[in-house]
This record gives sequence, structure tokens and C-alpha cells, in this order.
Amino acid sequence: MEIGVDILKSKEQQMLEDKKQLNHYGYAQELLRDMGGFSNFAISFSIISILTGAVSLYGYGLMYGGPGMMGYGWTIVAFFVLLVSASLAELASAIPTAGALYHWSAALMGTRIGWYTAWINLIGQIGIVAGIDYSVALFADPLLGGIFNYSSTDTTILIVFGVVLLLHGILNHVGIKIVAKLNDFSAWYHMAVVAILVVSLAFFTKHGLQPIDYLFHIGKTFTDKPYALAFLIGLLQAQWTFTGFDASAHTIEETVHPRVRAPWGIFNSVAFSFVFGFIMLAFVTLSIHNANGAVHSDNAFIYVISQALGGTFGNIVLWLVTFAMFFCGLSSITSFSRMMYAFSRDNGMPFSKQWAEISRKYRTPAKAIWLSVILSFVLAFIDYVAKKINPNFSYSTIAFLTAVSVVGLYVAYGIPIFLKLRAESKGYFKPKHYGPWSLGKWSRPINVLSLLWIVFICVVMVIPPNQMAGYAIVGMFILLFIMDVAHYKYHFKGPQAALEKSVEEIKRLEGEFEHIIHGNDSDQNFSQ
Amino acid sequence: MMEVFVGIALIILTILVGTAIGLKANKNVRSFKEAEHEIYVGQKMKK
Repeated sequence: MEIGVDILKSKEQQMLEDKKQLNHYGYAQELLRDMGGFSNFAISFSIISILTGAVSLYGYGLMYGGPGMMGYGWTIVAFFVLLVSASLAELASAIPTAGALYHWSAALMGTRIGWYTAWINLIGQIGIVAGIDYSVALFADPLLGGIFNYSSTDTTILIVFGVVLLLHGILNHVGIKIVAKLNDFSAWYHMAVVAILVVSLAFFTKHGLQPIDYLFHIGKTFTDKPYALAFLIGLLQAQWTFTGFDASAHTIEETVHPRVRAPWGIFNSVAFSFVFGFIMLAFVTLSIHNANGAVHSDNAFIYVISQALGGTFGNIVLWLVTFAMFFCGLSSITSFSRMMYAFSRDNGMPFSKQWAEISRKYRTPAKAIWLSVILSFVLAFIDYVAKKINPNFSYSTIAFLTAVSVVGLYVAYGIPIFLKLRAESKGYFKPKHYGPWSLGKWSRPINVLSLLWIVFICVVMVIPPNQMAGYAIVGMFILLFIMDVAHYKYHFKGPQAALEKSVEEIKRLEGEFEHIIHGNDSDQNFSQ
Repeated sequence: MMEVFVGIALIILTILVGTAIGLKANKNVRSFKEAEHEIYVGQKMKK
């Protein structure tokens, strides 16, 4: 669909215009701008990763909402997330900087609200990276245990989780070109694995498929809660899957023709994930023959696939799914580190200068990448220690991590949408400020519906048994408040500070990076 | 049977809404005029 103005220009002309656009906000083109439209779509599609969220929380969704969760829950969530993604796509087109949610909020109201948005976004990003890589470990550990003859425990899962994070850190450090290629591959890989899974289940299921009614069967829960409440709690499965599509905006300074390609990346990643995800969930659910056994097994998805396809074939499919999760984690660290880099170049974090450094050799925010890795590990490690101290905690680690990320990310999505409506009503933000990708008269109703859904889902995500996620988020808010009133209220200038940068300074910074492209690649770092 | 009908109707509605938003945005991308556009750096951020 993305044809318009871009086909009329050469890539070089377009990149020059993109650089000029970025310079308007006071930022130099430090990151390597090399991503095309597909790569931008692929990073969000890979982070949404229907083979991660929908699969790792499959047992959770089935336990709370029964099979109807897959038919109804997935679709209801997708409907509203499409509206949220359209609202964010419009903002990405209007203000195309890597800070995205944070920068939009700061521009639409002020630096303090921007600062809070950034931190809430960061909290969500920690949760999403931890949740995704923990999912990899949850699947890889029992599979590795089968090969190397050991039993999977919380400790072995934590070790595998640490190794996966380490690998993701190294790959992200080494370079955007490799990660972009892996992201592109990941998008095709996700579609191919879904196709393999669907064809396998359609033709080789041992006991045949259930009738279509089963997919839309509501009223059955495997918990002691009333069905309506259980269904709402089970929405976490779909809602967590549809997170992370802001990655297309965080990599906007690495995308050629970003005002059109990044919004399409945001919107299309959600739309395609809905379609592919629904097809996959439908076939997996229709192949269930013992739902009670599935929800009470260690991993419902592994149980269903093993029962349907048998041991060896089932294991191959599960390895394919695990690799898809691995790619998802890789992309999520890319997105997280870019957001942290953008926030740090405006001095929004402690030791900002460190996190805003760009590796001269690889042109990636290397230190921000490793901080993302460490913070994600720490979140899961705290949960591990808490469970060792009190083994009676009834929640699951994956539900905790995912609920934290859903609330953090969706609150961060909601703030700029609300502020855009506010700025429009006050007359600050006018039709001339919209970028090429806009919704016209549909914008306001879509924004309002998006906000209503965000408020609703954030409440649903922290009701028991996920109250721990609520406590964690409240704790983090208190910490943020203390940081704000103690220091940042007086010292944080936000994106405004960048606007004060002179043209000469921006050109000097860009000149240093152009120099690197032309030969000098020692591993020194730069910071703004 | 009613559950299946409502479920499929919901899927069709989601696809239609997604397609409509995509078409609307694409129309606006094609008709976008750079000359009429002004970069928004923020009301309180302008110096």
C-alpha cells in the first residue's frame, strides 16, 4: 500500500530529506539509516511474535477462558489494538524520532510528562524483554533437558534465560545490519512456522480436529472464578501478544522514508499478527482432545502439540516455535535499547551519557543494549528470589512479567494519544501538523476508543491473580515520583534541550559518523 | 450455533475495520502535500 511520494525519489535523496527532518528536532543522524519498509514492519511483527505471546500464555488463556478465549478473546483484543496501533501510527508519522512515545508526550504537553512516559515505557520494555526471553527459556529448557538428560527446574530455566539474554546482547551489539537481516528473516520464519503448524495439525492430527463450535465455546473455565471474570483475566494472553509494535517507531531514525514506512510498520504488524495468530490458534485449539489434561500440564501448548502430532514430530515443531521466540527476543532488545538511547541523549536517566553512547565500530547504542539485558535479567531474578523465599506464591513468573509489560507499555501508549487529543482541543496541534500517514476525521473517535480500551485493559491486567504486577508497577511509580521531585523536575530539559543545539554542532556530530563510514572504524564511542 | 455466528461476525468486523483504516491512511499518504505541512516540535518547546 505504501506507494505515494517515495517512489519518485532516489534512496539518497530520501535519506537526505529524512536527515533534515531529524535535524529539525535538534538531533544528529547518528544511527545508521538503512532499514526499508519491510525491515521496519518485520521488527514489530517479530516482537509481537504470535509464536511467543499466544503460545507461551496458551495454557493461561485456556485455563481462564476455555477454548472460547482463542476464538473470541483473540479477536476482541485484536480489534481494539488495531485502533491503538492506528493512533500511534499517526503520531509516528507526525513526530518521527526514536524517542517516540516519550518525545510525542514531551512535544504535546511538556518535558515532565514526557519524562514519566519514557520511564513507564522503559518499565514495560523491561517486562517485555524479560517475558519474551523467559518464554524462550520455558520452552528451550525442557527440550534441552530431554537431550542432555536433566530435569527442568526454576533454576535451570533461569540459567537458560540468562544465556539467551547474553546471546541477544551480543548480536545486538555487533550491528544493526545483522539484526535487521535477522528481523527480516524472523518475519518470514514466523509465517512459515505458522504454515507448517497449521498444515501439520490439519492433516496429521492423530485424533482428528474438533468441530468449529469448539473454538467459540464460551462458558467453560478451568478455574473457580465466575466465567466473565475468568474470561477477562485470560485476555492477558492476547493482550500481551499485541505489545511491542512501538518498535517501528523506536527504529524510525534507522528507517528510510520513516514518516510513511514506520506508521505502516506499526499498523500492518498488528493487522498481520491478528490474521496469522487467529489461524494458528484456531488449529491448535481444534486439535485439543483433553483440555483438562492440557491446562494441568506444565506447558499446555507442548502438551497439545505432543498429543496431536506425537513425540518426535511434536518436538521438531516445538523447536521451530522456540527459535521464533528467540528472534522475538532479539528484536525486543533492539527496540528497548533504541528507546533508552533516545531518552538518554536528552539526559533523562541516571548516567545518561553512558547510555547515549554510540559504538563507533558498530554504530549501535552498545551500552544501552547491555543495560537492557541486565535490567531484564534483574526483573526475572527478583521474581526468582521472591519465590524461593515464599514458595506459596500462587502466580506464575511468566504471568507476572507479561502483566508488568502490558500495563507499562499500554499506559505509555495511552499518554501521547490522550495528549494529542488535548493538544488538538486546545488548538496547539493542528491538521497541518499531521504527517502523511493520518486518519483525517476518523482520528478522534479512533483515539477515544483506543484510550477507553487502554484504561479497561490496564485495570483487568492487575486484578488477582496478577496483583503482584500491580504492586510492582505502583512501587516503580513511587520510585519515579521520588526521582522526579528530588532531581529531574529541576534538571531534565527533555527534547527541548536538543532544539537549542546549533546547526554547526549537529553537522559536526554527523561529520564524525560519516568519517567512520569512510574507513576509520576504531572501537571508540561517541556521546552527544 | 449462535456462538459460532457471533464469533465469525466479530472476525469479519475486525477485518473490515482494519481494511477501512488502511485504505483511509493510504489515501491520505497519496494526497499528502509537503508544502502544507508544518513540523510540530511542540508548543512549549518552541524557542
